[in-house]
Amino acid sequence: MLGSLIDERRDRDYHCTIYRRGEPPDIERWLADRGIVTEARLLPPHGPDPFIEITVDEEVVGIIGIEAIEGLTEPPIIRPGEDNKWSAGYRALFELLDKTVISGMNRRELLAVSREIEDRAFRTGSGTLRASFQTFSTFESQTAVYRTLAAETGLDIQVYGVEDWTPPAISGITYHADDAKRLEPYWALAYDGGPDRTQACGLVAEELSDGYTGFWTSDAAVVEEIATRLDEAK
Amino acid sequence: MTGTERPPNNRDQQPEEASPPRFAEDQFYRALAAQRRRRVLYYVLEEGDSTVAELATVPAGWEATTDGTMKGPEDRRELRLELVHKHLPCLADAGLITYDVAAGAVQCGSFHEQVAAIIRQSIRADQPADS
Repeated sequence: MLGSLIDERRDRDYHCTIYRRGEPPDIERWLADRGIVTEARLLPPHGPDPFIEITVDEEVVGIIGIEAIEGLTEPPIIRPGEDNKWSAGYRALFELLDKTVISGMNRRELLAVSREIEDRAFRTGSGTLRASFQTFSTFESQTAVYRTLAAETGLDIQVYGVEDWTPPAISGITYHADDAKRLEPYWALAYDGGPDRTQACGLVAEELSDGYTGFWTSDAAVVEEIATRLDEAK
Repeated sequence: MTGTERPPNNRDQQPEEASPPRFAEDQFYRALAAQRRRRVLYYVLEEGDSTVAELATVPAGWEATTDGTMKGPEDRRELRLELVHKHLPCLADAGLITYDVAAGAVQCGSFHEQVAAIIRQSIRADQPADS
């Protein structure tokens, strides 16, 4: 099930080093609050501006300036296709934390990541986008966004959830009621990239007592696994 | 750790007013002729002993923050190769660092405070607004 996708990634050796010279930047605290261990290293007086290095299993994943990703700890929620000055930095963060299990996320953060995925789907314009917001009543708040996605693209949209509300019929959207409630704990999205597998991206998170725990990814094979499990659960 | 305590080196035990003999060496200026090398040297001068891994990261971070981009695994790998094959041997030959290849460890060399001042100034000259 979806939960095992999260479990099998918990033990990756994930390491963040923040190079700085004064007070810890917001991102340091943000990462620590989400269960990601960070180490700080001092920078000399005339040296570079603060930056972060992320390694996974001792391989460097990326190095980016703190300024480029600052402000992203309180991400703006954009509409798909909308121009967003934080886009480049947010995409960098998306890439840096690919397949990293993050705990204690709140709904706003899930929404921000979901938007990133929906935005890619919107810009690509075709392929299959699967989304499970746990319940259809949660989907209700997303209806406007999904109306836009369905109307303005050739996307094949599949929405899953416990049927505690009747969603409106929208051309391009197929609903799957989760009668067995197997998907209820999970917020998950999977976009297959359409004609371009490099645009594939997905998210899976489980609602726990301290918030959501899960990961996002641009790895097409993993996105396929998320999609398959959503399909199987319906 | 600052630049004031260094293991003694006979060649540099000159009175303050005299210029270090190093200043007459082409090798010294060649060592400072590349921005990445100056940055690596400055970092080791100010922060002390370091490793090849860290010295591959610091210039990458420097460039990432200057041009506002993210450096990926390929950038870092390229920088590390350049460090090991070019920058570290060049700095070691000029006596500005000691480089233990097997251990991947780098230490600041011993040199006159005037040399340290030049290194710091070369970095300050690079920064648009001095802090």
